[in-house]
Amino acid sequence: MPYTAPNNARATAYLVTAANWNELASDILESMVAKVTAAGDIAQATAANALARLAIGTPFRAPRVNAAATALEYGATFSAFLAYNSVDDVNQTGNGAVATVDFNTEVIDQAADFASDAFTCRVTNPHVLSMHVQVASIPAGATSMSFTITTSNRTYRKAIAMVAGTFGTFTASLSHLVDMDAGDTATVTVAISGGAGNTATISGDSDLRTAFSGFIVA
Amino acid sequence: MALTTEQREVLAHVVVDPDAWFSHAVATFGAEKAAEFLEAKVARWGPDYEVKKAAGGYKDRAARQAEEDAAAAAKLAAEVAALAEQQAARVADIALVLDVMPTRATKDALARLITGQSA
Repeated sequence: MPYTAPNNARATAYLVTAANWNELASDILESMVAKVTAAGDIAQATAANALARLAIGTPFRAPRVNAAATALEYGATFSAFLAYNSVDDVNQTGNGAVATVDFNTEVIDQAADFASDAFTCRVTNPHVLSMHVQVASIPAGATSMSFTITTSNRTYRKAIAMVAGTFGTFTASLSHLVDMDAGDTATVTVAISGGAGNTATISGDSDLRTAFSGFIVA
Repeated sequence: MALTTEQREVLAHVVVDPDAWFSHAVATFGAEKAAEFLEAKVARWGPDYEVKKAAGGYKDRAARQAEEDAAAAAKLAAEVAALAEQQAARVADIALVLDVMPTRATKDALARLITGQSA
C-alpha cells in the first residue's frame, strides 16, 4: 500500500483513530506472512500491486510465467520415463518387417505419460529421447538394419549396412534432442532386411538390453 | 469432435496421420485437453504450412515421409551393394593369394635348401 507523508499537524497526545488503526492493519495484512498459509507457499504481486498467494505445488513441477505473462503458476509435472523389454520377443523382423519395439516394464514414469510402448508428450517443448535395442537370431542372409525413434513430427533413424552373416546379435543405441508438441507420440521401431524370414528376436531382460528413456528439457 | 478442414490440413503438414494423432490425444488426455493441444499445434505450425503451400509444389508430411523413407532405403541399399562389392573383391584377392601360395611340400623343400638339410 502507498504511504503518505506523516501528519505533522497532529498534536502531542493525538488520539489514534479507528481509521488510523485500520490503515495500519490493512498494511500488515498485505504482507507476505499474512498471505501465505502453508509451508512452501509463495506470494507474488497482482496487477493492482497487492500480494497474492501461490500455493505450493506438487513434486516435479516448477513455477513458470503464465501464458498471459501476468503471474507465476506451477507448470505440468516434468516428464521422465524409462521402460524396458523384459522378455525376448521372437520372430519380429529379418525379412523387411518393421517391428514396433515392446517395452513392457516401466522403471520410471514420473508424469504417467508412457503407456503401450509409446511416450505421449504433455508439454510442447524439446525432449531428450534415447533408445537401446538388442536384436538376436539375426538371419544369416540379413544385409541391413534400421532402427528409429519415430515421433509425430519427425523420424530419427540409424541405418546399418552389413555383409550377410556378419552379426548374429547386434545392439543399437540412438539418442536425440527432439522437437515435440503436446499430444505428440514417440515409439521405437526396428527393421532388418535381407534374411530369409522374419525370424530375428528383439531381446528382453531385466538388464535393460532393450530400453527406451526420455525427459523434458526444462 | 471432428477436425475441421483447416485443422486437418495444418496437422497433415507435420504429422503423418492427422486423424490418428487427434484420436490418440483424445484417448489419452480427454476431449477438452486434446482440443487445446490441437489448437496449439495448429497455431504453431499454421504459418509454416501457409509459407510452404504458397511456395508451390507442396507435399504434406505423409508424402514427405514416404520420400524420406524411400531415399533412406535407397541409400541403405547402395551401401549394402557397395559392401557386397568390397566383400567380393576381398574374397577374390584372398583367392588369388591362396592360388600362388606354395604347398606345404614346396615350403618344406625350400626350407631344406636354405638350411642344407636333406629330406
